[in-house]
Amino acid sequence: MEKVVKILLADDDLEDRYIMQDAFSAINLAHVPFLVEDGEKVLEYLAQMHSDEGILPSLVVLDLNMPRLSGTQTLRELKNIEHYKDIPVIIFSSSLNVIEMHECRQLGALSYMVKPFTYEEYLLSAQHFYDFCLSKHSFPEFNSLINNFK
Amino acid sequence: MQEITHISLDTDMDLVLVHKRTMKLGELAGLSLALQTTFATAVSEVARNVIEYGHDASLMLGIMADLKEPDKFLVATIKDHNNNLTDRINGGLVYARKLVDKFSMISTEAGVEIILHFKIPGSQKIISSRIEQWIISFNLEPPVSPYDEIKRKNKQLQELAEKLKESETQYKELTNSLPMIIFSMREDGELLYANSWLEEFTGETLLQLNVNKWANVMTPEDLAARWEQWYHHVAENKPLTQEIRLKNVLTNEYTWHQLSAFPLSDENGKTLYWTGFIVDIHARKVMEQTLKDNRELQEIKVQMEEKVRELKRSNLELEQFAYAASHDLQEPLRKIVFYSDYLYKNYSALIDERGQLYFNNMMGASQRMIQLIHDLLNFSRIYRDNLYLEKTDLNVIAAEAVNDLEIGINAKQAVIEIAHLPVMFIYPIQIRQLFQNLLSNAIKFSDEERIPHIKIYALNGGKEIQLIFEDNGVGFQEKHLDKMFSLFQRLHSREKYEGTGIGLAMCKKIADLHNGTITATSEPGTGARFIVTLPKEVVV
Repeated sequence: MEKVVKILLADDDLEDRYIMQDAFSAINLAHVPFLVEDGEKVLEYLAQMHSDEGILPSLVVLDLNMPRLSGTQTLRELKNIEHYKDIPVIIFSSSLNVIEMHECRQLGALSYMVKPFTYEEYLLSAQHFYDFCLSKHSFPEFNSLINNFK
Repeated sequence: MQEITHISLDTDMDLVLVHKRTMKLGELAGLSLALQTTFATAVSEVARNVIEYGHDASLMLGIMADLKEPDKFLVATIKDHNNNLTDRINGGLVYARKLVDKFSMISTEAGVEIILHFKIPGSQKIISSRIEQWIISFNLEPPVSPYDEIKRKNKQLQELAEKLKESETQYKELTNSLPMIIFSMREDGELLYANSWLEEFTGETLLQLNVNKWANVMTPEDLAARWEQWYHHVAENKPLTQEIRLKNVLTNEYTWHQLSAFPLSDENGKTLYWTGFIVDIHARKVMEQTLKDNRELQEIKVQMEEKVRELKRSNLELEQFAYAASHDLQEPLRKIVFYSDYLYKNYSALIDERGQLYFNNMMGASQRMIQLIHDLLNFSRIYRDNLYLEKTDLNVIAAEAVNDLEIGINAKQAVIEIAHLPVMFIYPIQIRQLFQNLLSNAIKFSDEERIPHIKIYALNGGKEIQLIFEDNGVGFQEKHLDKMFSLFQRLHSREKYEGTGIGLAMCKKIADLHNGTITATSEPGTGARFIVTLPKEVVV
């Protein structure tokens, strides 16, 4: 039996959530993503899963600029809670910012990605997220990301 | 021997005096009348001979009363300036030789000196206080004759005249040696006296100054004002102090002086004339002015520092604004690019040819905007906060830059020649950006006629290092130099060379960040040479 994969994505931008869902649907993985609009909802969802003894997501993808609980704040919260601290977190930002990258690395994020500019790239990103959960893909480490930063 | 009195031997009249004084000295010394006469006769004999044959003679009477010696003597010394005297008077002195206890005659180049010693008999105590009294009594001795009186007065007058002459010389020397001008002046401004400094300084004599009324040594505007002030003060009869500028004849320059003058009055209170002095106060004036200038400079410096702080603050705000703005602009732009890409890929078949052309143009414009925002973001990120100087091998930086531009280098078959570069304390990410920008420019602006040849090397210049980027590309006209390093300034059309006009502005900002500079030289058609000068030690 194939492993049940859940990916939790948080983004306050409705269009981005829509595009993301569309991308997963296009590669026949429509049920994999669970999309929420901010960090608070991330914590709520995880708490719900935990109490219901449901399936915790294999990956959390966080947008950085979100109202109420931002990406970095959410990351910090997650890494402080015993049950969630081992869930890999990828930061999904609209721009490269080396300072944010340093901060995210320190807080324990797995990697940092810049949001795609084309539909194809979105499809590829969705596939990579899924493959990562099946240990078929690995994301570049922070050090190489920061070194490549120009 | 101690001198008691002195008599000049000029005429026969002096013989009377010689006799009287010698008798008197004998009496004071306690000699009997006979002995007094003997001593007086001997001295008078010598004096008579000297007056007759000698020249410019004098007699000195004294006493030799050494406490340790048992014998005391009265001594008469006759000096004469005629050195041929000896033979002529020798015969005439036979008698005198016999009368005294010791007789000596010494002939020198200056003249003749005859000394007579006359022993004081008995064991009288002659102490110095007594001798002092004798001297006083000789000085107070009433004149023996009108001649004696005149002679004495004459002597006193001569002494006074000599003293006066001496004191006047001293006064002149004193006033002339003081580094100031000393003068006396009449109320009408006519100089009566001035020491040598006035002429030395102004080059004008007293007479010249009195004739031209100081016109050559003062500025025309000063001249009228100062004379007006002088007459005003003179009328009030109050001491005057004013600062004036006088022209130095040696340098032909006006220097500041302080003039002080005081009225001198007679016993009735009427002003006779004014005396005063003029001192050079130029150094003080210059110092005062310098101090004033310094104060003003200090104030300006404080103002400047405040302005610099304001500028820095507003610069930082601008940078933060640019960053925030470009960051936020990026988000909707990403959507535009995403949707147009999506539409083009899935629906381009449904649009006609013209529509497809416009669609392509729109996508091209969006791509340019992405590049622009990307560059602008990078540009606005360059400021010192959060940056750390690191010891960096520039050879590594250069290799990385070449590596990043590999595609462009290969496409143009460019030859890159990198000499050995130094290790420096720099901001590595920014310097890598600078290398990359300059290198990519050199490749971009290559001349189609020839293979691009790019040289990178360093020149060691004492406290700084020059990094040179030399190419054989199309070059530029140097009149555009200033423009080239400004934001969004481009020298070529987009059709010919793509670009956002940020690259060189960024290089300048990076050079500034290191307290360095960037400039370039070129001749169109022969290539360009960019010179980045960085201090060996960046002071933050």
